[in-house]
Amino acid sequence: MSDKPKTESVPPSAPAPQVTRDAGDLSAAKTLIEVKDFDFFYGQKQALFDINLEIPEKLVTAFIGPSGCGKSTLLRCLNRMNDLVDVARIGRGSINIHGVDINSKDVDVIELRKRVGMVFQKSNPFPKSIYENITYGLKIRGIHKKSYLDEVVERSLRGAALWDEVKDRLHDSALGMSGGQQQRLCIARAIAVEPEIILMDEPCSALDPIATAQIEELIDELKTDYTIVIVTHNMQQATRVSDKTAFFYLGKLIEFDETARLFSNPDNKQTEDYITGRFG
Amino acid sequence: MSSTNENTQMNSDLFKRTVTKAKVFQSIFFWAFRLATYFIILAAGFLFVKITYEGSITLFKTEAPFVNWKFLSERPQTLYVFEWSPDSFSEEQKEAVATLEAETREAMVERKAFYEQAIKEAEANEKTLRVELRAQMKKSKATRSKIAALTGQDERLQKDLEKADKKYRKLWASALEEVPVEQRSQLITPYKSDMEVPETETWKDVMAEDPEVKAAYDLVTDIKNQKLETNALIDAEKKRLDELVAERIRITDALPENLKAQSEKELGNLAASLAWPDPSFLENRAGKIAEIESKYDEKISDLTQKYDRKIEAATDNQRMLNKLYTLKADNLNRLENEKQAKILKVKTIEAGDRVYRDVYAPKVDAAGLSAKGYSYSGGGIFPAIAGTVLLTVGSMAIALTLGILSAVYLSEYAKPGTLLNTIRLSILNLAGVPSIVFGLFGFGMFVIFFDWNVSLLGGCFTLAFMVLPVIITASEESLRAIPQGFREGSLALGATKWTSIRTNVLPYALPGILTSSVLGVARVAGETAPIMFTAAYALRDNLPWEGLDKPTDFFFQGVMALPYHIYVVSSKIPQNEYTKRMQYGTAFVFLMIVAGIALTSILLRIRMRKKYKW
Repeated sequence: MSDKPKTESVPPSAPAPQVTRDAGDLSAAKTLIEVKDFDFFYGQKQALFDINLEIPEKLVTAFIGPSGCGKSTLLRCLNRMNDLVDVARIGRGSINIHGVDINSKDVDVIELRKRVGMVFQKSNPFPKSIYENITYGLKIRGIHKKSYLDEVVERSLRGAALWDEVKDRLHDSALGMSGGQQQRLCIARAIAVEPEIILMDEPCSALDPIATAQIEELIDELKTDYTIVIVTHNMQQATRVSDKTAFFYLGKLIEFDETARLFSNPDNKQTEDYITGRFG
Repeated sequence: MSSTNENTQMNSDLFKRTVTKAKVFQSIFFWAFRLATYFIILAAGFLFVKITYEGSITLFKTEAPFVNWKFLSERPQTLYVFEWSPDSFSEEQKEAVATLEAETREAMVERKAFYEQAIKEAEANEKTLRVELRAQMKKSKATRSKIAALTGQDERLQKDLEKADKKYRKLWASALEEVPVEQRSQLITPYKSDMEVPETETWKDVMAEDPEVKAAYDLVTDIKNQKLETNALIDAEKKRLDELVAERIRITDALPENLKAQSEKELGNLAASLAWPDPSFLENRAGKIAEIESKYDEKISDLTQKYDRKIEAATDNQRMLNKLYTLKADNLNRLENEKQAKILKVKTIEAGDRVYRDVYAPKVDAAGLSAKGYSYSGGGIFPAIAGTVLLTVGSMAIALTLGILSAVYLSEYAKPGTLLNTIRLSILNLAGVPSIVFGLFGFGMFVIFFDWNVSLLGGCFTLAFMVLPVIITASEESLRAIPQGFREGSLALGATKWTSIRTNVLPYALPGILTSSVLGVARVAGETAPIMFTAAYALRDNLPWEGLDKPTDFFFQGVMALPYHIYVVSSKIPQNEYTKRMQYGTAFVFLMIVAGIALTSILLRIRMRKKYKW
């Protein structure tokens, strides 16, 4: 793949994200992540069964489903975070990003994670200052130029809609921030290293409604530049922020469609039961 | 009416205190726990107070500067104790002392003139002396390198010899097979390690018949001869080196600055010996003795009066009277003994062996007196303090490095499984191994196998191995206490595993690791058994940084250590009132040092906590 797929891969005719709710425009979006016949195991237990999924570029894709249905597992497979789990292994199938199988032997997992950032369920700012949190990803890559770091800090914080709140206390500990601010800091930290894809693992589950609304707004803004995959428990959130939605149940992908259609007119009975609150 | 009464009756019983079996047990156990705790605290407190009290007598004094610096800064010495009372000397004794003093005066004049002359000459010759010295140094350096080369050659020859010898033995063994069984007995031990072969007829036959054995034998003989030659050369060079060193010492001593120092020392000793005993000291002594005598006389008369009154009151009771008479005699005896002991203490003089030899001995000898020597009881414990600090710092450096590396591997990199569990279990078991076993391990491994001899490095490694389990276990725990989010967060930003550990795990785990190492420090500083065979000397006059030929010698020398010193002074030498001071003083200083090290670690930890807080 080219070094700068982000600029190259946007076709000039790509629709503006704001209007992507329109079904006709959505189908024109290019596929960025392709999951093919994917089986995944934790030890003897199979967690994912034969997943086939195509995640479009520069749109928000939501994974929904009851607890333990494998949506977080799939998300963590997208940047190989599951490598950290000792018993985890891939049974079959592949995950391709830009057509490259990310699990093949010659893929450098460090390079992959630089392109595929992640925001976790529990906000995990490092116990350093706000400034150091954001520059961490750049510093470990050997970038130490002060002026550049300053610029990135401001850009990322503005990108995460946090700049106005913290610009006067950049060198205070990040742990002194509120929960919502901490989560937005984690998003800022992720976009500081300019990934293509941002994975969000239930980013709002520990936040109050106001902070949640702020994060949702932020996601809406971010999708002009990034491809976002979000796991959520909250179906309202999925309808509010996502363009496409995948419904998982017991490790299987039940239905994957444009959000508007999935929630208004699902093909599958199980999906209907779930979104109408009959189980889950 | 009656029902209300019943109600009130019932209500008053409702929360009434009752004694049940369970409550009795509860209070018994409560008191058992409480008393056990108090007992432990009391016992520990008693020990601590006792050591502090007795040790303070040695370490502090009543006059300024209030601290007995000599005890902290001097090396251990034999304490000489002698009684010096010129007023009770016989005429001969007085005469002998007077003669000695006159002689000393003469000697002072003579030696002074001698040194002045010698220094003048030396100053004139200084340049030539220095040139000579430099030449000597060069020569001895050359000789040293020659010896080193020859030793290397000797080692090579030894290796060759072993090889040739092995071959010869093998051939000899196979040749032996061909010899008839009845003749074999005289050949069964063909030679011992010194390679002396009994030249029997059969041996000669074998040699004549088997050229291969002959060749091997000749080779062995040849190498042996070469070795003998080399050894002779080495001996010659060594002898030469000894001569050179002696010459160098002679020249060094003749240098003006050394001559000056020597003259100062000698004349100073003579002067000190002459000025002793200080008349005011003798005068004071009389005063002190009078004071003690009057004090005790008063006590004795008080006691006598008290008993006399009691005896008077008990006129008729014969049994009572007997008892009182015995008591009176006993108590008076006790007081008299105490008085004599105190007076003797004032009369006697105590001195470390150096001062005694240089200053007091001539006069004491002249007066025909003899001093009693108590080994280890004089001087101070500075070498032991220095040794303990070096051992502690060294072993903690080794243990922390190895321990943290291994803990990071075990908790961050190793895959969980049977192997990892086995390793963990082994490490935990290691913590329960008695320290003397570690001492023997260190002795076998470092002292003998690595050939480090009794050395600082060997002791450091042995101690480090002893605390490793504690440090590894605690470090692992601290590492595991770091939230997984720190690792995932940095990995998700594209950090490598090591970067993530280095920047986002280790810094936050360090305070915990240091806390645990406090425990290790106290244990390392306090252990006797592991250093007994590996590092500790009972007595070493040189400080660790003194008299080193080359810098590496620093690590390969034995040191004194406080715990071992306590062991030696309390169990290896005859016990008396003078050694007691040394024992308690050492124990007290030792307690303070351990407390000091622990305090430093705690302060360090607090600072780190402040820096890396989450």
